[in-house]
Amino acid sequence: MKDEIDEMVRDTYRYFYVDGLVEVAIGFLFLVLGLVVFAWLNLDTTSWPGILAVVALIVFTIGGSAIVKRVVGLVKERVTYQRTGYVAYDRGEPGVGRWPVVLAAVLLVLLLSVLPDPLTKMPFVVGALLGILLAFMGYRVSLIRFYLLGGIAFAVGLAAALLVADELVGATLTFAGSGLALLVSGAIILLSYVQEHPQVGEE
Amino acid sequence: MDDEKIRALIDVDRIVHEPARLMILAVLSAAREADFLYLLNATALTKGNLSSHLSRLEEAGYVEIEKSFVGKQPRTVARLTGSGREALASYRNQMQAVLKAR
Repeated sequence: MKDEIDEMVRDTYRYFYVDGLVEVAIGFLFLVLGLVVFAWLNLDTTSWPGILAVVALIVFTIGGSAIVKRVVGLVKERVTYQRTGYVAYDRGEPGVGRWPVVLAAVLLVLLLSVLPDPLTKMPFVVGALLGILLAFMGYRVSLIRFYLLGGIAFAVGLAAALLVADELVGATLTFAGSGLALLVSGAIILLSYVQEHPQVGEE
Repeated sequence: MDDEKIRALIDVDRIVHEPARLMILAVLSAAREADFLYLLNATALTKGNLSSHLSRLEEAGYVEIEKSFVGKQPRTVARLTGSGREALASYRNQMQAVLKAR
């Protein structure tokens, strides 16, 4: 009985990710942030494109989470709620939460003190941090695809640490690469969700 | 099973004990609120069944129902009340105690 109730509770949490919209939005944000940082590193910051890159970097860094929340809410209202129903959650959306982020960061700092080079490089750190957070998300809502996405982020970070000489560029590529993986995964889930669930009206 | 455990089983809240209502309460316990369409999909009940169980839970004061419009679409939203949350928690404790005693 306990397991069945727990499973229904978990299903309700998992419903937040049923349409892939969260991955699309976060993936898009990561990808844009990665590209903006890449542009900022390679452009003259006194030129118009350079200034634009700096402004975009500030806007997306500060307001990124709010933009994602707003866009996901609006699109869910039009796509998801009309197809499979509306759910609002008690303490915001069932995401990672604050403590796992702190815990992952502490774990990583501890690991970095014992790891050999190039595993102490920034791209690996970024990839590992994203990997841990995505895996934790997968554990929390029992979604295997988040474990896979965590693995991809980890692998991209490791590859960038080994192959890209400039640490900042490597970290940016890790961020953008992980974002691209999230975006593609979310888009696939969204397409299959829309195909499987035609729009219905309530009685 | 001792007398106390048997009494716990007899005293179990019948409103919560009914499987369809238990499903509705379990779903709502994970959310701030959910609409009729979501509850329909999550519980796999028929519309009539879901309506009648929601009414029963509302009468017991375990669930609040709110009808509104989103654009031109009607939306019926249900949310667990404080006493509904307490009733579910106490039911789970009672059942766990009974099952442990087996």
